[in-house]
Amino acid sequence: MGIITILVDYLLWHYSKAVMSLLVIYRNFCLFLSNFFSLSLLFRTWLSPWRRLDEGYPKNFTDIESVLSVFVLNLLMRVVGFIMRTAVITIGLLSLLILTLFLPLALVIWLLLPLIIIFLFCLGIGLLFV
Amino acid sequence: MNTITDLIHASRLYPVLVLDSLISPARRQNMVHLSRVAIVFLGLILAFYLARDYLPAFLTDYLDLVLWLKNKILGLLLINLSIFVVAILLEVYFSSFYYLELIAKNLYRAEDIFTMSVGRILYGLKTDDLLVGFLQSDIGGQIMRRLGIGRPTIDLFLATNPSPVSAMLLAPADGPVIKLKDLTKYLFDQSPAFREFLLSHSAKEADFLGATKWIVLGIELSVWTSRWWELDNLTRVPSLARDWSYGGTYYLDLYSRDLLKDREVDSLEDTPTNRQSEMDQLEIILSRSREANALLVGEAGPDKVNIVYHLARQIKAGQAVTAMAGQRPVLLEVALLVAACKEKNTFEQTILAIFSEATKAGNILLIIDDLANLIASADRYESNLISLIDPFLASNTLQVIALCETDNFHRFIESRGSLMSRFEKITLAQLSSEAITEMLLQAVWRVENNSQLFFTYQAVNEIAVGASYYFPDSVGSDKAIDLLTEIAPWATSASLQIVDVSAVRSFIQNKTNIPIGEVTAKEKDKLLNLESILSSRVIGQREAVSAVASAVRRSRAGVRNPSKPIGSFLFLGPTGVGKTETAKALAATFFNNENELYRLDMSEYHGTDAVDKLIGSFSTGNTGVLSTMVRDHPYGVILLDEFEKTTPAVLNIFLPIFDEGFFSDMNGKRVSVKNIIFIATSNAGADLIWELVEKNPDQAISRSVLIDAIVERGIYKPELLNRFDATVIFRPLGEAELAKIAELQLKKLAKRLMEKGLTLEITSELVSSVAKNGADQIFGARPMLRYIQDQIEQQVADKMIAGEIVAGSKFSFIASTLSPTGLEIKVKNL
Repeated sequence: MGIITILVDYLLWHYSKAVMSLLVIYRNFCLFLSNFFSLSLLFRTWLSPWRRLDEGYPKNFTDIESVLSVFVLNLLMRVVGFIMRTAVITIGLLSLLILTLFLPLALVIWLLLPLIIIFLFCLGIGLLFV
Repeated sequence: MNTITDLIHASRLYPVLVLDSLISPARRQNMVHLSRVAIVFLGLILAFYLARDYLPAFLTDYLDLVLWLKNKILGLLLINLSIFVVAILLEVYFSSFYYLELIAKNLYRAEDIFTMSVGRILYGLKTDDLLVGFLQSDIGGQIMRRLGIGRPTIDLFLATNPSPVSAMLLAPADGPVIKLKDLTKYLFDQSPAFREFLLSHSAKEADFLGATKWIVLGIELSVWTSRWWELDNLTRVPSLARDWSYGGTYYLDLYSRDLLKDREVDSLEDTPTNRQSEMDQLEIILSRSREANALLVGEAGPDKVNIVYHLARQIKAGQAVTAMAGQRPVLLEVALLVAACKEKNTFEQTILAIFSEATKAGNILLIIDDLANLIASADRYESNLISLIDPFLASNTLQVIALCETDNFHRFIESRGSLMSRFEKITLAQLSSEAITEMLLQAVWRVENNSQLFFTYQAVNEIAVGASYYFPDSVGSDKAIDLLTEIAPWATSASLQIVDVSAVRSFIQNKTNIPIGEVTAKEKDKLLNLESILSSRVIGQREAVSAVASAVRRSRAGVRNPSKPIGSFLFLGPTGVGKTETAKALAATFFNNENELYRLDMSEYHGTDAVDKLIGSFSTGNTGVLSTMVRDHPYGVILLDEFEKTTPAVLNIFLPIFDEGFFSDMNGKRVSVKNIIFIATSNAGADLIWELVEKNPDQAISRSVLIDAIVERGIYKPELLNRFDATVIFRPLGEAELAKIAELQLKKLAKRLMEKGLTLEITSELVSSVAKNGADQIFGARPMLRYIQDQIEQQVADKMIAGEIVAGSKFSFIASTLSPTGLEIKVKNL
């Protein structure tokens, strides 16, 4: 079996299985980022109080002052939670966006990699003997 | 397909095998390494050149050369960069094929025909002989090395021209492709010469296949860890902001560890648990919608908490069951909590605060590290803990895993029905030595990396077997890991490089005093002449000596039953005939130390509380004498003196002890006696022995007559007598034997006197006088020591005080009618 056949097999791998693997790796990184920034959980609890810091309302609703103070406190906790979660969700989504934008670039580089290697090698040889 | 070449050509892996043989893994590694170094070096020079305007003048004075070589350096950099990328690509290419090797992934397809490891061996075949190909291959060499067989030994074997083994009948045992274990099993089955070769190097089939599995496991693990981009590896990074959606746990945090951030959990790395069945049960329980609480019950040791660590690891890696996803496992350390709460009120308030917080937080998986301790502490404060925590346990908002030791479970928890109804119990099964070996195999890599040692497969197996065999009271896996960790520094200090079976045995022998290492020439001599060695101490009891010597040899040869004590003997005979002396001689011979003899006077155990005194009492909490003795001295001889004088209930305790090698103490905890020799001495039937000897002094005493008489009299039940390895009958001593004993005792006295510079001449007159006057019809030779002390030693002492005997004196005793003892000192010279 000649070098040619091995090269053909390699190129087959490079342009079929490896490309598929690249897409799987992209998916892995998406899942990683989503897990790292707890996106699913933060979306589900976007409007929940910060660290569940909420107080129960008094049984006697006629005590308007107490009811209002609990309401304000709980609202404040929800606002804090919303702001913090929004910040993390934004960073997480931005990371996913950057990753997604990087994917076509990575794919192009991968597809051109055999040519890039040959180009770099030839350029190197050329510079060596200038 | 006609030949092996056709088989290889037909495989999908063929091109990668060819490439693999052209550029070996080592060469690929070198390519990556060297090109990386070159890139860094050349890159630095270029960076230096580019930053020339910002550098001080004395540094840029010599830049002319760099300027002149600028293009060449850049050229070299680009060439190295292309080589580096090619090397990396090749690694990824190869890795993608080796990745298929992973058993869990099972990615091979039928058209692959074989796995990469098998493919490498087959491709490397220079002839049609698979055996030679395997032994000359890199992976074959690794397997053989793990069996303690090096390259020179393999070459010697191959020089004998063993019959060739064709690969054509090689077929997969299970699954679509031929795996390495199929190949090794095939070789073992097909080549008698190879089988014999392995066996001659103490490698059995199980060892050969085990070593194969070990090597494959190593390949899998290294491929897996190198693939950092896999989801499982990526999700190990802890998530951000997960806590924000759940409540805080101020009180709980004071007394607990968050297992998602715990170092011990991280240190588990990828070690598979050998408690998969318990893990599965735990996941099923925790997946329930209500009362999803589990109680892990097992022996003392880290196995219970390790299960929880593995669960935490799975949660962290996102591999746990859906019900567990996003949970925060928190280990409540009861000892800390109990130490901090000094009063009932504080204790109850803290417990309530912890459970309320955990429930409110919404994501807590509460793990109580010692439930029994928590309940015992509550009992001490007279607090009704169970009714306090019951609502939390019954709710569906909190999940609890409680850990508990077996004996404490029986003591504190089992009887509390309401508490038990909230938990599903999981009992940790005793680990088999195979399961322990599997766990050790991965731990060995870490030890090898830290110590420059090399462990053979059989050595690892021996550690696993030794842990359960010689340290039965410890938890198997824990003890095995301890043994492994302790062997490393020991082997290093002994300048060992390879830890094999004999090294492990020597280490265990050092630790336990039980002779299990290789039999040395000196010891071999001792074992073969054991009868004569014992006979020099035990006079006139040939049968007893021979029974004991046989037991020692059996045990030393490793053919004894491992689930029984080393030996159990019943010594029957009158007083003073050498029963205790034989036991002492046995301790001295077997354990090389006469002090390894522990005596229980069984006549002290005859009341109603006899059993409690011996094995402990649950109601009083007192530990038993036998339990303590065996736990403190797990290796030695236990002498059960006057065995017949104890109660039948106590005798019944010894039935499982002699039969199964263990008994259960007051808490139901098993106490192993597998490394003990039991000797029960008894005067039962002594009168009959006298009678039989008087009738026929020259004939051997009929064992059946004696035993029948003992059973008839109801002293021992037949089932107890049958459980002894040997019932040894001690004959009453005759005049000749008594004279020998007298001589032996006098020699001991002479030796003591010699240390003071005095020489006692032992004459036949003295010997026969001591034998005649010192011995007794009923008490045998026992009063002889007393006689020597009262009559001989006393006279010597009196003369020494009177100054008639001084250092350098030589004296003897002669018959005298004047002396009340019939003996008088005669000083020969001064």
